[in-house]
Amino acid sequence: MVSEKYIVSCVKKFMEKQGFQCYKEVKVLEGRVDLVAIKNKEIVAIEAKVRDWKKILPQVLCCKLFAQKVYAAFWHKYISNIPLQIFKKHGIGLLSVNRQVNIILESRKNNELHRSIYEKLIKEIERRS
Amino acid sequence: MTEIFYRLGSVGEKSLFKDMKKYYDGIIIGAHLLSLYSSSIPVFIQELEKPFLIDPMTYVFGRSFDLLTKNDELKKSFKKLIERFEKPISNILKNREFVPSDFLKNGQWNEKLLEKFIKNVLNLQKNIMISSPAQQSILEYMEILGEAKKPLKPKYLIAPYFYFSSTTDPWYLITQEFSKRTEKFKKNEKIYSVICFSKNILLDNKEIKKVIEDYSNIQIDGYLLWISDLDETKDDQKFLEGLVQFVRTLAEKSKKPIYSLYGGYFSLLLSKYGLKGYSRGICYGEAKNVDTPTLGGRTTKRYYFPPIHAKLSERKARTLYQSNPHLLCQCEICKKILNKLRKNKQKTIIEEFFNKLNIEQAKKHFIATHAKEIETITKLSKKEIIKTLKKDIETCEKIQLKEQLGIDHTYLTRWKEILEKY
Repeated sequence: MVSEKYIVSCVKKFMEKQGFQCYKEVKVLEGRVDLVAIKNKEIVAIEAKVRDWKKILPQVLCCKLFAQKVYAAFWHKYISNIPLQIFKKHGIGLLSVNRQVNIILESRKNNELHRSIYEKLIKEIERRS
Repeated sequence: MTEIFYRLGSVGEKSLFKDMKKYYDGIIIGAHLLSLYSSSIPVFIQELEKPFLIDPMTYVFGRSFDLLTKNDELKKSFKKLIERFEKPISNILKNREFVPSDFLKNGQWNEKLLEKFIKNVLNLQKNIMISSPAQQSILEYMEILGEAKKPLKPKYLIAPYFYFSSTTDPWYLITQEFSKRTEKFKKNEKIYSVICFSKNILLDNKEIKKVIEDYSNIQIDGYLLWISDLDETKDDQKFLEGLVQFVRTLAEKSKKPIYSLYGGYFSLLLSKYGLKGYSRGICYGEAKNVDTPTLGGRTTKRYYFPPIHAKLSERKARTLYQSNPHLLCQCEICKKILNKLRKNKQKTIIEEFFNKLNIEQAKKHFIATHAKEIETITKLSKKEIIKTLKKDIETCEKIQLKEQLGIDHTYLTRWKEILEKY
């Protein structure tokens, strides 16, 4: 059985190929984000699950507080079970992972950003790198 | 009106208690914390001028010794508390926890230890507030000024207590014996019993009946209930129904006041079945397991969300209100912050609101909001409360709380069903 960790590492490679700097398990407020990717001060937040879209939805919605783009990543076998319209409605992108990563749905640019949290996160990332 | 006593979690909360004085009925302080801060807490209580209780915390001496230690040493607060006991109690507790055979062996009571322990625990509550040098100086000074103040006395004393897992647990007999014998040490003060037990008892009608029968026969002035680890929002309806039956029957049979030592909104609803009041921490401590280490007040920012009668993490609160700004709270604390922001920050009002709201204000918001809830529930009939719960459920469904924030609010339905049934 594939693990969430494996999905995250596949997405990390995918994002890095596109020139993003990536950080796993980033603490934001009292939670942790599976993967934060950053390029030119644009933050992309990615949460991963093998199949459980109901669990991931609250997590990705919270990411809209600090990320310009937000994705939910699932193992490819289960992607057909995901109700696309729900993610589309919230502007959340979808990634299908099978070693390779396919963008099923693009993330809408988020305009609900809480700048103070975004700026804290940028600082934290700068400190790490 | 249902009474609410807030537990002092740490000395850092003192200003919170002072500023929000009009919103609660009293304060409860753990004897260990009071032993550690035996100079400053009495001064604070004198200034606060609110009824207070001292939780003798004796249950902890009947659990694993690890609860009392940190890095193999006695925790400072418990060390100070133990030092207040006479020998041999202090000698035992410096090295190990109590075991039932310390008090009851082969059907025989260890009279000396039993009575010494009761005397020590009651005397501690009677004297600790007035014996500190700082407190003595204040009293003398006030007398010189002709403003003599009454020495600080708890609203009532609490008999020593231990946790029992069933009525066959030896601690069951021992803890009752403590309550029975307090009569001997009683002068003018009132003494209450803590009935602290496993939530599994609530699933067994015979056990419930026996506990009520036994406790209602004890000459005591009232009861404090502590159902270890009972979570009003997570536990099955059967546990909560057992609790309703327990409170209702004990109130009817004993005709004595009953308080809950740890409780949230459901405890408030229990006032309709005879609960006179309850205590809890400020925005924490609605439930407590006897085997969970005693910690101070929480330091993370949590925001109380009235439709679910529970708190949210900051991350969830920001996300929730970002999509539902119309639900923003109108308590005096939140209003004050919002009024300052509304002038020029309309677009980013949710972000600014949570940036401005610090931990202390979040706690104050909880106290003010919860006071309003208490006032409302006290006035409403059961039927009207059912209506308000229905409205809360509708609000949660409308904003898709479960789907979008992963917050399970099905307990509201369970509470409603219990009110409909009983």
